[in-house]
Amino acid sequence: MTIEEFKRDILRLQPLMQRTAEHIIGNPDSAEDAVQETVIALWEQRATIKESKDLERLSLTIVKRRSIDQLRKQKPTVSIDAESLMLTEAQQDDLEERYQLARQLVDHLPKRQRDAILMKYEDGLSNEEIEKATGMSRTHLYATLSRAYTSLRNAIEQHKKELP
Amino acid sequence: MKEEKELNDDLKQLLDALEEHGRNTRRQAQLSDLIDQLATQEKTVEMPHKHRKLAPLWWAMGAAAACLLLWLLVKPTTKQTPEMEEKNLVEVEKVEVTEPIMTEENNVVIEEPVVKEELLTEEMPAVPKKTPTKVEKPRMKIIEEKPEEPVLAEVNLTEPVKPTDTENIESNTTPTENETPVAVQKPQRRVIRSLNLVCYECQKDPEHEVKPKPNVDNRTLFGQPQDPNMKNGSLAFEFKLN
Repeated sequence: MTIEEFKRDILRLQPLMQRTAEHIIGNPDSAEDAVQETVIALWEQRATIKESKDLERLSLTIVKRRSIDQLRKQKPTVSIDAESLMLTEAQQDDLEERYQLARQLVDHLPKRQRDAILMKYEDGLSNEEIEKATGMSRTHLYATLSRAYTSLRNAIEQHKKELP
Repeated sequence: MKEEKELNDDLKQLLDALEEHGRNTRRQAQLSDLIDQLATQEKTVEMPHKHRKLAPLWWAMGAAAACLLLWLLVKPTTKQTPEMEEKNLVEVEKVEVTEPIMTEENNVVIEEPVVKEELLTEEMPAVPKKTPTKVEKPRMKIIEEKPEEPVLAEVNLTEPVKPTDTENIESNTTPTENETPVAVQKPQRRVIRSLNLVCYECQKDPEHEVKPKPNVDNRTLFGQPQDPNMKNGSLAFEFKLN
């Protein structure tokens, strides 16, 4: 497995590993650490991995163990049933579906509102950073975000009506 | 109120999904950097487990092969200076052994001077040089079969001579100019012949009396004429026949 192939597969598996770790640990930052440790462990075993399926299986196993290790550090007396802590496929698909729907609804917003929403939530920028990036004032930004929320609510209602 | 709350919850989930996706994107970028960093470290500092063990072995093998190749290339082209050649030559000098080797076979004692080759220096040359040594084949002297003259078979020795050296004659002796090759190379044959002396006339006539010849110095044991140049050659035949 070459470096490029490894990187591609790891980036593809990152959301799954992150959610699995977060589901076990309950803390996004600790889950991120667990995922990074998993990637390092996978890198060291890169020579033994031949197919992407092996990588996926191995990555989930390692991230589960690392997450449990993290959890034990935080709460050493709590017994852990690892299998029950694992995410089900339905939960993983639900997360993916929700993102796709959100992206679809946000894309229909006017450009200014869309940029403000994506910068605030997807890019994780603070209000001050958005003001600097867009050149809007604080009041203008608040007004824009409020209009975006209203539009999204309407869009969700419309989407619910369209569902059978 | 309830609808509004549901709408808010739906919106919140939607925005959470966006937020999580954004976070994941950033984490992916971090992981990508991490993988790049690991790859760079691997190239510069350390290697994977498999290659780590083999690397020193390959280096050693390569070095050994290079040394062998170099040695093979350099060896045939080395030229020794004359001084070095002289130094490395095995010095061989022929030394004549003064004390004669005495052998006693069937009551016949034979003293023979032996020439030994003594190795004075044991220093061998790095490149063995072919010294132009003549390997002289032992000259087979054709002995003309003549009717042997009557010679007394009994040999009386006034003083028994004890052998001083028990060395094998054949291994150490080489023919010299002063010796007859036959006498040196095949002493046993000579002795056997000497014991097999039967008077020719006695075979014909059993009543024939053998009279010893008073002077047989000019003839060899077998009745052949002695080489006039051989002065010391009579050492091998010092016993006198009555």
